Amino acid sequence: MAGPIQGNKGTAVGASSMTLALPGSVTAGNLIAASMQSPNTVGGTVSDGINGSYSTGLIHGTTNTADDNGIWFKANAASGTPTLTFTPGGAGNIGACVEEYNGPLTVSPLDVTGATDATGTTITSGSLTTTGANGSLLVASISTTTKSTTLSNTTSGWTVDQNNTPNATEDAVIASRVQATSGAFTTTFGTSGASQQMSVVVVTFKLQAAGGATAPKSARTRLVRTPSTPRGRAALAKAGPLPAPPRILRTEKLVPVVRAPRGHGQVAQPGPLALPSTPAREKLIRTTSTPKGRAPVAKPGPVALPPTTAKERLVALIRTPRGRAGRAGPGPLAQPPILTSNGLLVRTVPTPRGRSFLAPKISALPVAAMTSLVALIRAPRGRAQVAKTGPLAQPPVIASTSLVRTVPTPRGRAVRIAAPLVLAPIQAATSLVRVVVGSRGRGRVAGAAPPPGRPTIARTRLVRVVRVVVSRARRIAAVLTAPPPGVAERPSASRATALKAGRRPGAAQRGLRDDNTVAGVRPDATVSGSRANTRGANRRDVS
Amino acid sequence: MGTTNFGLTTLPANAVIDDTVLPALKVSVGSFTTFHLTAARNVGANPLDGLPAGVVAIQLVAEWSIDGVAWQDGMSASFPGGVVFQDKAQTIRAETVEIDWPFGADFPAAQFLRGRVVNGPNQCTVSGSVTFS
Repeated sequence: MAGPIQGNKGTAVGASSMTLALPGSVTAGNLIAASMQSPNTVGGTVSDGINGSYSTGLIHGTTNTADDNGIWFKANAASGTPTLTFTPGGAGNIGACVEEYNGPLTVSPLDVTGATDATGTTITSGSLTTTGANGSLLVASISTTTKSTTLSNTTSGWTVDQNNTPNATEDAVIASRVQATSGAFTTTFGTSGASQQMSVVVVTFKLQAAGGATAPKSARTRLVRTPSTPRGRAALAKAGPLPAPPRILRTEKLVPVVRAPRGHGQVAQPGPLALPSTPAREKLIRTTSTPKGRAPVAKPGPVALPPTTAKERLVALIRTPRGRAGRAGPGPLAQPPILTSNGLLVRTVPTPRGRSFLAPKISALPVAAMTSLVALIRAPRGRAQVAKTGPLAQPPVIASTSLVRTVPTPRGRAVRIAAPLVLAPIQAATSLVRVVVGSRGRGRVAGAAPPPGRPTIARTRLVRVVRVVVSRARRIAAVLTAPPPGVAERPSASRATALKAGRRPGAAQRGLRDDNTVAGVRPDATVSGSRANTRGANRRDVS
Repeated sequence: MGTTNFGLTTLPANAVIDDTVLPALKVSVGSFTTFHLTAARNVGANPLDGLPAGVVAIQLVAEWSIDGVAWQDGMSASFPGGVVFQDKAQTIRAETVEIDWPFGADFPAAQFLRGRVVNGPNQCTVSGSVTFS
């Protein structure tokens, strides 16, 4: 996946040039972007001893009192650990940031650029429209007049890769976003201080291909590493986040370090690494944030694969029946997530007790494999439980607002999940069941198998959710055993015949009439579910 | 935070002040995340402002190391002689030369830091401080 890899930042007072080194070796082919804020950025240059001179993305001489602002880049960078030299057009204060990015084209990656000057507490770039065929990498930097203010970028999708604010010399920020599909965008920076004059520069790069091979920075931010101590034992180097993937630097040994419940980093394994878990001899651990902001250990031992390349090993946070999030389990996910119609990515995961629960918000999207999804159902008492841990007999039906499906319970009885059916589940017609609301408002199953003579058309097992008056339940059940009017009709009935009979063409196969009632149901029953709507003005009694 | 001052010092041409001269210029990182090295421009008999303009008069360097033996680049800056202004309007005169390096988030493997002051081709006088925070 394209995105930021590693970087550095710094400032100098009254300097004619400044250098910044990258922490580790650059991956050959990656792009290095460098921003410089200075009173004399115009006419400035950037270079390093490995890659030579950098190309100019955009140098912007501001029209206000904010310092000049510019972004340079080196595409298809050579492997090695470069030290960049920033040379402004004249001596003065210098603020600079550098960041390595994966994903841009190695030849002619520069796409559109733009700069904006403004006065206020926020500044929004002008709208730019990228053209990359495989998406774009957007990089932005900001310069200000007033120093020592905290700058941020809260635009959706943007991440601040380097933030050297507040800084008394130059407030410098470089932010980026990977745009999966090229198109128009803007980005907004804000300052915590008073209104001031600011300038933002945006440079975009065309991506080689959607996705990529580099771990997203969001994954790296949860990794820490520890180098070897003189006694050969690993100690905690730093409890904070890693801005770049761990790299083997000479004699260092990496061990997993976890953040304890109280927020302090601890060494998960105090000794040296026993076995290399990756070709780079890294041992990574994954931590996940809980609702309370605590990051529990996903797995104390070594991870066979980096979490960013083994999505099936991502640990999902789950919501238990009591509404508290817990850890799903250290093992791989048994099922991939699914995307519900309301935009939430959900998935079910095995808990330590072998039960599955709903994980309400998953940011990653592994591949879909609906044949192995575990169905979640809401039991009569309102608590979710697993209906079946094996493959689903039928795929779920996406209703307009929620995912709805019926599944067999461990006792072989079919129930429906809590969300009401909005659309007829015609896509899963082979095993749907009827659910009848009983006297106490609880749903009960009318029967997993279709009763003889069930009023279905064209041999479908149409779901029929019926809300009945308590005293009429038996009568309805009796009626349901007999074929309703129209059942005898074959699906091949002509459109003209259907219209003449007062039915919508095709409605016969769903047992529906134009008045949204279910054929064959007695007048004292109110129909709900499927196409029949029991709420509001559309609610009708069967006649 | 730890700050160590170095008093007025006359640096011969190409002289270097490093941890062998001033041990406080080298530290174990510990919980430090920022390195700051500064020197006054206009002190002593040979202030930087009095040196030839446009010629690098002095250089400040910050380096990092895993083992305290092999040192790698962190950041540095070169400062010219003559009068230098800090702002775009050229109204705020620079009275110091400084580098500020918030290395913490980017160099988690760093175990040692050190700073150096490298003089240019002319003798100069400086005083300053190094701060780890």
